[in-house]
Amino acid sequence: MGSRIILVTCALMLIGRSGSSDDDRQLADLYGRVVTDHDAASVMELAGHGQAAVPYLLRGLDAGGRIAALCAWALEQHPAPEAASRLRGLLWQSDQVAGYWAARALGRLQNDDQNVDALAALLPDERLGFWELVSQGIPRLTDINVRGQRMAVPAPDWMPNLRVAYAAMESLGELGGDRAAQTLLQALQNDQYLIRYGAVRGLARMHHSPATPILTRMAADDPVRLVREAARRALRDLQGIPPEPIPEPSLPPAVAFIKTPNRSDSNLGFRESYFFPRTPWYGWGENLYTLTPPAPDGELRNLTRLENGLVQGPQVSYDGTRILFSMRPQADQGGFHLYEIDVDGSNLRQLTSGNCNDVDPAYLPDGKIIFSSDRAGYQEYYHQERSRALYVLDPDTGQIEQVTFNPNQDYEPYVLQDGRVMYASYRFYAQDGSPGPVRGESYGLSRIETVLRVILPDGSGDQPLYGAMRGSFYSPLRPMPFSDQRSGWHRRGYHVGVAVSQAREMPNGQVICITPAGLTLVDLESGPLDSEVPLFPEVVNLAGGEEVYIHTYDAKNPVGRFTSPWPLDDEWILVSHAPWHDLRGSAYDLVLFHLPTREMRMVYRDPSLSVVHPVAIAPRAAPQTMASTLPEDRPATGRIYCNSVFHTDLPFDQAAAKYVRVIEALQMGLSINANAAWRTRTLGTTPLLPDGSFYVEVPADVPLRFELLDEDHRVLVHETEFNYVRPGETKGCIGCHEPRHTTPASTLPQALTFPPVPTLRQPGDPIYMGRTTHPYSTPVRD
Amino acid sequence: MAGHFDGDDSFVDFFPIPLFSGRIAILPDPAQRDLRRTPIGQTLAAWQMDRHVVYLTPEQMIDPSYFNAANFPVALYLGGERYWQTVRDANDGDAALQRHLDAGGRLLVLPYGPLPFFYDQKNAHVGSAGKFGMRLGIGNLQAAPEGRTLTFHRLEDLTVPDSLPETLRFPMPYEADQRWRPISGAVGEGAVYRPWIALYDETGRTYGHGAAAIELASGARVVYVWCSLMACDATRQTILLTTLRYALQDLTPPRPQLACLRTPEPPLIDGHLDEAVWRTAPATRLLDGGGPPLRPARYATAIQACWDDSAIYLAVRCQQPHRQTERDVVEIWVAADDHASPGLHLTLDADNGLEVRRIVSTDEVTEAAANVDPSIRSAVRRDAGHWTAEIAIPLEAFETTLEPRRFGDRQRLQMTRRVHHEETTSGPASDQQPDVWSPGRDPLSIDLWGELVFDPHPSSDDFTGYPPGADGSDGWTYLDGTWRIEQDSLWGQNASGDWSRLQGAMRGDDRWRDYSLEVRFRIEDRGSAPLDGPWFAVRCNPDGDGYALQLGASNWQLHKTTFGVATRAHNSLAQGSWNPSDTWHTVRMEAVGNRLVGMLDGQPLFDVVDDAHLDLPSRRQGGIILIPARSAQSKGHTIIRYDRVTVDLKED
Repeated sequence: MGSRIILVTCALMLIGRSGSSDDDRQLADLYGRVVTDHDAASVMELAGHGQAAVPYLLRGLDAGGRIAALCAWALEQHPAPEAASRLRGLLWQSDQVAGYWAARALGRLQNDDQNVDALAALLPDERLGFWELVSQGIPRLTDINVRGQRMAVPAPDWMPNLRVAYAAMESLGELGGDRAAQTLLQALQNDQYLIRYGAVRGLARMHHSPATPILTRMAADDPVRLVREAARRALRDLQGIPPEPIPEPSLPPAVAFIKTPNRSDSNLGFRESYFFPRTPWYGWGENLYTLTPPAPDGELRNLTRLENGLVQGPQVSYDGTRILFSMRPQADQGGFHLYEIDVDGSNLRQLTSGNCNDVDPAYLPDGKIIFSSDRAGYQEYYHQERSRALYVLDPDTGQIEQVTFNPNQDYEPYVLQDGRVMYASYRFYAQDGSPGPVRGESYGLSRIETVLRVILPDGSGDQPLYGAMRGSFYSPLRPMPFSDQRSGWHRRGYHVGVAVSQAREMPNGQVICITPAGLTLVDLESGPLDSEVPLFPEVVNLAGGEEVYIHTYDAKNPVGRFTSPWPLDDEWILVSHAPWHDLRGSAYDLVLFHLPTREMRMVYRDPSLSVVHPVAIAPRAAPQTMASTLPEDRPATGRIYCNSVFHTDLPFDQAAAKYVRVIEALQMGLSINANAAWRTRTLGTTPLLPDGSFYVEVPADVPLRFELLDEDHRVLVHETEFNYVRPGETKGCIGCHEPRHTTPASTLPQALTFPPVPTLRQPGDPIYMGRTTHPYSTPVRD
Repeated sequence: MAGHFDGDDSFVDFFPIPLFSGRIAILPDPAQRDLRRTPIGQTLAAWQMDRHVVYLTPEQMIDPSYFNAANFPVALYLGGERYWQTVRDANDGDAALQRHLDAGGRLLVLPYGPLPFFYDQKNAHVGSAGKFGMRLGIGNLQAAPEGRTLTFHRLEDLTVPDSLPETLRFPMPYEADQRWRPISGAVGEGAVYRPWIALYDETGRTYGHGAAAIELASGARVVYVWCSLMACDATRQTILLTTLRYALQDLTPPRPQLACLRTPEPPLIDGHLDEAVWRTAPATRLLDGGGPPLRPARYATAIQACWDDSAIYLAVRCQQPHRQTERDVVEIWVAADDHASPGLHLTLDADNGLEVRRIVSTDEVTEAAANVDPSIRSAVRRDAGHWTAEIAIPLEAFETTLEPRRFGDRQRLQMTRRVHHEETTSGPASDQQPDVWSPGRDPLSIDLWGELVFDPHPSSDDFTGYPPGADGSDGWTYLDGTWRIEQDSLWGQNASGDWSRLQGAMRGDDRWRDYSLEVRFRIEDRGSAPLDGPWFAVRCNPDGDGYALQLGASNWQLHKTTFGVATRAHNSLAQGSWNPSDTWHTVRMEAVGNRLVGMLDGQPLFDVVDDAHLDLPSRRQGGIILIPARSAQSKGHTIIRYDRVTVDLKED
């Protein structure tokens, strides 16, 4: 046998043909890091080598998955015509991140018929023609009823991915030409607002002035605010009006934040993950810091200097001198409690104590502190987590009063300029496993929504602010196939969870928060159907939204992650941001973000830790102080009336409605293994008056709900979430899942001409344990 | 589907194992639905092995009449660590593989995961490799030992294919799975273990064998290759080719076959291969007949065949040589499948010079002198780089009282092509060794000839050509109802008139996308329900989804069924009235994209676009179903007679 020949098996050596061997080795090393570590810096450095790097990038595109996504991303910034055919091949594969960047990269190449055709082919000729999610490597349509069974079926192979198609619209705008313009004009008619949005932007980018009439119409009429705003911007571009100059941000002298090695992906705000449901999550970090000034070269100061502790939820006093936060000095001992510290790090004071967790503190304008706590000692029934409610602490007396009574989770209180308190509330609809609102409709355990609600500082006047549509099961804006994307809201769905959290009020009254559409600006004045503008509408939502509330989809997300926004002025916010390619929990950097243009400026970065929960350290105007209207004697009851249960969008036999049953949720103590059951007490039944009104006296400070009954006391309508009244409070409602576009008749409800019917706790009240199929059929002892 | 003319010279691509004309079964993988997407699957596709490779479904694997060593001499395990141990009955997957090996089959285990046969289809640990002669997992490593340089060495043994590389380095972490799972030499009684590749470090220490063959007493052969040896592009092809060649040694390949498709319309003999049947009919290629080792032909030659009751039609496509040729000749021998019957020897050149000789005896292929048979027609057409020909051989040309062919009939066939180059300034005159279809030392030895197999047309059927007593189930899948072939038509009775599940006589599958369906039908009886009668469904799957045109007692409706959800009268895609009669009608449905167009007896019926009707996507692929619908509540019977079912598949 001849001399031994070493066969070079490594294709890296085969493809590194040009340049010196040292260069080849360097390129091979870079590519190796891309392959093994999915390292974004390496792929960008590799792409920076120009033509010599192209064979490696092509190989990366062939590798598929994350490697292909990184290489396509690099090619978007370092275009290479040789990659065109491979990029086109990625458009229809199951990895939508790779597809997204491939589409964007194609937009950076020369206008080529093949590329334009490939991108144009991503606009389907059919309504609802997109898929969104992949499981087991197969694109799927979720929630399809297949012969009576709900399942995720494989998407047809002619169907493109929604976000890849969106990227294609943007790229067609880059490429320009008649064929691209024709496609984009057609895309303006598409059902999906994300596609219309991409097409509007594409037409503006290619300065396609024949689109002016239709863009003018869309700027006025498109049902989705995001698209209207994009059309207005496009019209300005087409008219040659230069963009407004970007104002400098109103930077405070200093910022406070916390650092954490593992920022959870969850934006549900109450839980680390679905799989460890007993682990409460408060968005904590390891230490509290200040940065003076808020700039990369600012002076960093560790205020808490904990070795093994946790801090959470910093807020700055209105005079800008103190920081209120929650801390657990030893991570493995005790709970979180409220602390206050001067901004210079001196004068640390503990404000609360006890065997509980006190988190998310906020200063009230009267000097009191509102916070979220699990100190009531009961648990949410399904995941058996410690329930949280809102409490008010009077620092002068140490007195603490519970002010909200949702049996699940109330958290993140934030004092609005008008003195009311906005908070996030996690609502588990149909939470006793009972059916949906009307007979024959069943949600099982499928509806979870975290919404924004608002109260007066004493807990009275609790009402929805933003999120679920006053109890009707709509979820907020989110690009999603098989949903009504004309209205911007989704029809009722199955297995739905929606999270709206981390809300902060902008100086102009808008709210910046995290929703199923990602980082979102909400204009509460515009009404719930037309209030949202997602900053990156192509995001695969971080948490929350139909089908995905329990899952993390960041790996399928072409947009970076955002968390804990803090407004600086009407255009700039501080926000924590992690790029799309870095999925580590430690990847969040603190950036300045310009809302109108998406411009980002780095403020502070720690390579090994996430920087989250920024808050400006500066004096600010204190909100209006709202005095409590509750009676001084704090009676044990309150009152609730309803104008008319017939004022409703629910389909039930109104002629059959005769009674209203009032039900109290019985809190489940933490010492009991609840085993996914929730007990309810029937407080009483009141006749329904002919005009559909009723008026009852109910125990104060307990979660309540109502059922509409027929004359045989069978359930016609079943309210699936809870309300409460504070002592002596009288609360009214217009209707029962009332239509959103109408107002009630201005007449005095008949029920209010009588004293309220007492539906109060009595010895012998029946107590039931809910069951999925037979509600209230299984009595248990009290 | 076999290859077909695609307008270029793709047939001259690398073709690694031309001698083999059998089929290779790819065993199903519970974890990955489409093994075609694996690197090996893609390699096989790149080698144009499509005609040899069948990706088995689990049901096919456990069907002994389908998956056996005669049908599939070679079975390829391309899966990961899971396999179908049980499909229907306990361990029926194991039994299928065991049956295959007992019959002398070859099992090539080229997994993409470290331990093949380790988990069953439900991911339960079973560790079944030992059942098939392989002892795996002794000497496992999770990665290369720190500080060691590992290298594979080809072992010195006469049985080891010398095409394997002598040395290979252990893959880098970013190249392939590092989990080393060697095969051990402990094999059962009567079996011979032949290690091919061993792993050593620089000190000479061995870590076991990464590839080995086991020759079982039954004559079966098992080859195991560690997954990461197949991960690198450069070695994958070599190892795959090596293992296939090893598996095929001593295996008598079945004769090559060329499917001769039933055609409803005879092709026009003009040399222009533009008829629909030539888009559908499988093509076969000639090989370099210059002697072993066989190579792809220097100039591509491909041949197709189709038939009707009167003639056999051949299509020839020849790549033109780059050099000037003096003569370029294709020869075709066709003979009956018994030595006593004579046949024909046709010689056709690129100028449409046709000679016909009668084969007097096939024992030694003696021929009569050449003559011109006016009944045999040919035409040649020259295009850039190619010449194409069509030949019609009428039955009477065989000068025997041959009955019309029936499905399943066979004839012996051999084809060659010889190119004679003129002397030019760039080279002397030369005769090329003839390229040949069914290779052997003597291409004229009839024992080595291949077979022309008379098949139904895959998409169209005029219900002639079936042997007596046939029920048509060779060409149709009967999902429901009673069916038979009689009077050169298809007779169907009482398929379920369930809107949410279309059932009847089905043909075609998801490879059918855009096409038109035309059917002649006659209503012989009808059930009592208003919509009982002939239903015609397109874009169907076996679960009963599709678009159905329902021709009822007084009106027609077009419905969509998808995921078992069906439109009803109030939300049908289209509907109207009609007056049925007991005469023959012709219905035509065309489905292109999400547009459906229907005609009845030449009159427009509907032209609709399914724009996510039912809020569910349109169906854009699937076969046809003929439904003599009778609802469960009906009285009486629905009996429909069908004729001339023509499906015209549109080109992609």
